[in-house]
This record gives sequence, C-alpha cells and structure tokens, in this order.
Amino acid sequence: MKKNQHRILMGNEAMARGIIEAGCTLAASYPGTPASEILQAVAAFAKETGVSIHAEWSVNEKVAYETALANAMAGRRAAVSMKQVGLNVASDPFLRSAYLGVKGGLIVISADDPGPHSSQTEQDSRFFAMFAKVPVLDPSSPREAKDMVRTALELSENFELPVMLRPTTRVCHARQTVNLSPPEILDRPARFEKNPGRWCATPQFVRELHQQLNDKIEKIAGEPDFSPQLTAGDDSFPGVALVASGVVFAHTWDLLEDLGLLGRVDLYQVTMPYPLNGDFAHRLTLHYQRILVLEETYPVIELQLKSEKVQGRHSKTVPGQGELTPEVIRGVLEKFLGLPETPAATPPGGGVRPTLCAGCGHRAAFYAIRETFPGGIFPSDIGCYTLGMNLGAVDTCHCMGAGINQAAGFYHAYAAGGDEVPPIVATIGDSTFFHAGVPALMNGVIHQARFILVILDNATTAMTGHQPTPEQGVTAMGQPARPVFITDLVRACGVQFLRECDPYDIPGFMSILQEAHHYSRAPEGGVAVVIARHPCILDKKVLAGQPVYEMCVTEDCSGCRHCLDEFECPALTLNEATEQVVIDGVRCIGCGVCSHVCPAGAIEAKRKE
Amino acid sequence: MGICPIPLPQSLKREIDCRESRGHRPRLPRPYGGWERGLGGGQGPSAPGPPPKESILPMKQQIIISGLGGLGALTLTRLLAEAAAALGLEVITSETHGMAQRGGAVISMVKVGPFKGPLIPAGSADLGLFLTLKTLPAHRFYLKPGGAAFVNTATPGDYFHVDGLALSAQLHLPPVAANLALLGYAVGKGGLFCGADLLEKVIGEKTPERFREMNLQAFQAGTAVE
Repeated sequence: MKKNQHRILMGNEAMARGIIEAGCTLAASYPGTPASEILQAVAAFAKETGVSIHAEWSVNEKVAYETALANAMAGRRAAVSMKQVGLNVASDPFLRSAYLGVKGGLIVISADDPGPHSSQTEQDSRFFAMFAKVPVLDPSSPREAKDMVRTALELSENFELPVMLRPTTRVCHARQTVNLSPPEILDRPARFEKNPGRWCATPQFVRELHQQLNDKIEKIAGEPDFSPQLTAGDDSFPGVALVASGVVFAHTWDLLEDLGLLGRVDLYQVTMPYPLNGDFAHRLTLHYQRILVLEETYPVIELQLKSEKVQGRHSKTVPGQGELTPEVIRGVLEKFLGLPETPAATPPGGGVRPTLCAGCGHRAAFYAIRETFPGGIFPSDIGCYTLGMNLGAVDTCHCMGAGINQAAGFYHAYAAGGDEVPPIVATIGDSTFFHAGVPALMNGVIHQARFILVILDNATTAMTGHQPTPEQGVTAMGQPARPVFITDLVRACGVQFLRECDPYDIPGFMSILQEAHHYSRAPEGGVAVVIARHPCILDKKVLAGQPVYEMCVTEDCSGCRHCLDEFECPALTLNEATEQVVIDGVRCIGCGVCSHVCPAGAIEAKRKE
Repeated sequence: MGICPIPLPQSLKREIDCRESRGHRPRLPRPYGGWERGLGGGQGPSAPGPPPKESILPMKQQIIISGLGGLGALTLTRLLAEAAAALGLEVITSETHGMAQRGGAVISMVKVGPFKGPLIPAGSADLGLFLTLKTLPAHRFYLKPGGAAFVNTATPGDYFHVDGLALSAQLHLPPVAANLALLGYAVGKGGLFCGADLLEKVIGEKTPERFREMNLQAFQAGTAVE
C-alpha cells in the first residue's frame, strides 16, 4: 500500500486498524455498545490487508478474554474488546492475568459509556484496572486511540502483563482522519513454555507473583513517557492547574479555546490514569495551590493525588454522575476559574421514545404473554427485547442471563413462603441465551423451580448491529462455523417441556403458553421452555421472504385504543379527528399480526399478490 | 482508497471568526456574491452587495445534523467530513448509534477546523441541517444566536426550508433522497464551508454505486432551489 495514506475512521475502526498494524494474530470480542464495531473492523481490515488473524465473536466476554489470553501466553500478540460491563463478565480471568502476566502482548479494550447512553451502569474501567493493578491508557480522540494500541502492546510485552485501553462512547463513535501504515508481520511461531509455578500458580506461588506485579506497577509509574503532558499557561492564573484525561481533555481544550483561555492556564493531559506517574503526582501538589481534575466517570486520577488542594468528582466540585459534556464542563470551569457564568441552556424535554420496530416478532410474543398471563411476573434480560417494557411484559432487566435466575428466585420466594405463586414468564434473547442462559436454565431445572422461559430467537444479535449467534454457523470473518442449536442446549439442561412457535401466530402461541403453564404447575412438571422463532425483519432477505399483507382499519373501530396501548406498533396511529385508528402506510411492513389484536376485529389483512 | 488533500492557493485560506457574528445577523459567505434572505427572526432580505473579490470559505465551522433514525443523517455527516478532508481541513464528527433505528431522535455533529473534541456545546453550532421538522424543537438549542437552520419540510417558519420529499417525488426518487436535497439546498444558499462542485465530487466518490445517480440528482435539485 501507499505510504502515508489518510482515511476518515470511526474511533472503533481506528483501534481495529491499530490492532492489525501492530501484528496481533488473535482478536476476540462479544458485541456491546459502544465497542461492537471494533471486531467487525478487525475482520474488514484483515481482509483488506490480507493479514492472517483469528478474529472471533466469542460466546461471552469471559470466553473471549481467556481465548485471547492463551494466544498471548504462547508468545503472540492478542486483543480482546468489550463494553465496560463486559469487563464484569471477564473479571475473573482479568484479575488473575495481572498476577500471572503474559509473554506476547495482550491489549484489553474496555469501552466505557458515561451518561450512560446504552448501558446498565456508568462504571469506570480505569477504576477496575486500578483494582486489578493493570496499567490503563485513556485516549482523547480516534487518532490517539489508534496510536495507543501499539503503545499498549509494546508496554504489555516489556513488562509481561496485560494493558488496558479505555475509550469512551464519544471516542468510539467519533470520526477523524487517521494515518494508515502497512501491517507489521511479526515472525513469531506459537510457543507455550511450560512453567506451572507461573501458569498454574497455586497459592504458594501467588505471594511471589504479587510482589512481581507490585514491582512492575511501581516501575511503570516511574516511566517518563507516560507522564502527563503540559500545555503551559502564561501565568494569568498562578498556582492553578487543570488536569484532564480522555475525551474530557478534548472538550476542555475546545472550551478553553472558545473562552480565549487556551495558553493562559496550565492544562495537563493524563494519558495513563493508572498508575499515575509518581513524579508528576508529587510535583503537582507541591507547585500548585488549586488543582481541578476533570475525568470520567469515577475519580481515579483524583484519588491517586491524595491532596486537599485537589478538586474533582470526589470533592463534589464536578458532578459525580452523568456524562461530562462540554456544557457541564463549561459550568465547572467558569466556577473554578472565577469567570462570569453563562446561563446553562436547558434542552427541551420529551423526544421520541424508542420502541420495537414495526413487524418485530418480539412485539407479538410479548403481547401474547401479557394477554395469556395478565397477573404474571416477567423477568427479562438485555437486548432489543428489553423494549418489551413498553408493552408491560418486561419487569426486570439486570445483566446478561439474570432473567432466568430471577425467575427461579421469584419462584422460591413465593413458594417457600407458602404463598400462591403467580405465573412467572421469563424472556431471553437467543444471543443472550448462548452468553449466560445455559448455566441459569440448568440450575432452575436442578433445583426444581417452576416457571416458563420464552427464548426469543430472532436469529441475530440485533441491538448491537446484527452480529451472528452460534446458531447461524458463520464466523466474524464470514467463514463457515460449526453451528450449535438452542434446542439441543435446552434438552441438555434437563428440560422436559420444549415447544417452538412463530410468535406471529398469536392464537397458536397463546395456546402453547397455556400448555407450558399447566406443565410447570403439574406435580411431575418443572421449567417449561417455549422458543419464539421469527427472524429479525431488519434483514431485507427476511422481509422479502415473508408474506406481505395490505392492512386496513374498518369502520368497526370503536376507538378503544387497545391496539395502541397494548400492542404499541409504531405503524398504528390515532386519527384525532375521527378518534379511530389509522395504519401509517410508510411504517407498516404488512406483517398482519395486528389483525389478531383488535377486540372488535376491525383490523383486516389482505394478502398482497 | 486514500484521500489526497487538494492543495489550495494561499489566497483562499482566510479564517472567518464565527464568534464575531454572535448577536448579529451573520452574513453567510457566498462564493459568488451576496445573499437573499434574512436568518433567524425572519427579517427581510438585504440588498446583495458587490460580489467579493476572492472566494471566502470559512476555515472553522460547526454543523449539527438532526433527524430520526433512517432519514440519512449519518450519510450527510460522512459526506461533510470527507469534503473537509478533501480540502485539507481537520475534521472530527460525532454520531448517535443504537437506538436510532428504533425510532429515536438522532443528532450528529461535524466540526471543521482545528478542534480536538467531537461535541458541539449548546449555543455554538454555526448551522444545522434538520432532516425533519419533528426534531427541530429538540435540537435547535445547539445553534448559536443567529445560526442558520435548514429544514426539510413544506411548512414555512423562522428557518430556511425546502420540501425535500416533494423534490424527490418530482424526480421519481425514493423519499430517503430528501437528505441529499437538503444538503444541496444548504450549499446553494452559501451556508457551508465548501462549495457545490466539491460536494458533487465527494458524493460521486464516497456513496455506494447503486445510489450515486439518485444522490447526485437530489443534490443538484436542492442547489437549484430558490
């Protein structure tokens, strides 16, 4: 390829390019916003450059981490990527790998989501790295994120321990021109050197390994390359220092420029928030009287500075929750620097609530569940189907795979208390089921809980961008994979009642749910599983392959709003003047399901030729 | 597929400080002369002055692109970014992902010039492209006082508007082409950091083959709207 190529890349794509250029031979991931595009781009760049790399969508983040780890143990460079809560799933191998270390470099990309925009917590992966004693780099832009991939891998190999790269949503999904270089081909055949004292590390070896880890961290904290960089002021604000990291540094830079203060107040960019350079921490608290730390989302840098002169999230000078947007930072800066405060612009409330797409099979399934069990408890899980909240058919959403365990827990709560047990119908998606559903289902069967599990199988991992599940039999690189089927897994868990149905057939589906309920309450019964199978209609091939109906609402519509409130399809709208329901021809995909919904039978479906 | 920045003669590189026009009705720089319509408070047209001696293109510009999922906001974001890169300008953009296809409102931001961060603070955007009137109330507060709003709608109001859907229908193009019509309209009004010729080149090179003809037609129709 030509030298010095430039291309506009998304932050995730830039990191993927970095992974390829630095000679990684294995990349593993599980989809999660905002990190999902990383592995997709690794596969795309691998094809474009002809580089040989094993890139996989692993079943979950713990699996991804351990797979990548072994590549690094065998002396080859590896990358694992996930969203911040995925790190929770991978926490067991992550924490252990700091002690045992690696031979080839291992980069752990954990993408945070301040706000959050699409996550169940706002946790800070840098804090996790501090807990694990793993160094972490904090990029402020797509360009920096790409460069830091190589830095992380080199550091990882120099010190033989994993290194984390922590982008946030605004870096992952920003686009910027970056330099492209040809990929480095490292001539390193896989070589696993046996060393049970290290790689098995039973307790008697751990104390020594911990000592080594502590020494490594201390050395890294002394590396001048990772000392924060200063953009010096002109003494307009003597004794004052601003310390920022990540995209918050970039916002702060633009804000200072806007306020005419760039180059007038001392501004430090921290690229390695942990371990914070020891010399820097010492000099900072010695030479300045007032120090403001701007970082997301937990006070990682602030806590390492250990001085009363330091203000930040911990000292409540900076809000302790929510994203540090430019508007929020501006308010904090104006107060801290004693500038006139501009009134905060309040964004108008309201907006369009997200909802399942018109024609989504999940909507039909949730409607059927609600209609069959009006007094039921509905533990659920994470995915597009969480939007079943809008239909009143999702009562809990905790973390991957939790819905099934909660269903069992609710059963034991009511049954052991001697109370009448309401119907319990848990829902889980296909990808989520592969991720964490199997141990949960198995446990429910073993301990004789009684509930219904509906597996919502739309043949994809939809919310994060339609990545393949193990059932599809295709890899991240588009090669054939050996498929594993949900029905086989369900039977292997010991389930004795298993049915499948297309949820579009609402009456059929409802009768199967009734059967399932009778089974779960019968003396010899237990956990009943129903698979609701209808592929995601955002796939054009699926749409082309299913019957299309011409939908219309007849004069029999009484304006009872049952379809609007209980079915909630975005193609159903109310004509305010006539107080009757009208079908929005642009949004309707002609699935025909709403014809089952109207109590007056006023919605008609005519098969289109 | 790399981008080779087009070297510009020195005279074209003049920085326009967009902050100077805060509180005043900004003059939208036009490559070929004055401009016709008032901005913001619906004030009447000003008499066009003599055409400027050189082309004045702003070196720093902050643009928001607002719409609902599926209306093509991301396409416009990427085209504007590629246009900036083609001019040798620094650019950084931000996007909303995920919930967009589930009917939510989306906003993208394009910052042309030496910015470090991808977000535009409220009250700082020089102009906004609104793919539907529905999201104007939600996102308008990002515009600076006097910042121009270009809206794809048939309904007149205190903004520039073009009926992109009607234009697309006239040309027998699908409704989604309205986004390119809106872009063409904004360029035609002299609102953007780049001209129509460069954008046509970028559309030709950077949009998928099967949409190219449609995109160019919609774009050109937009530039011709009064």
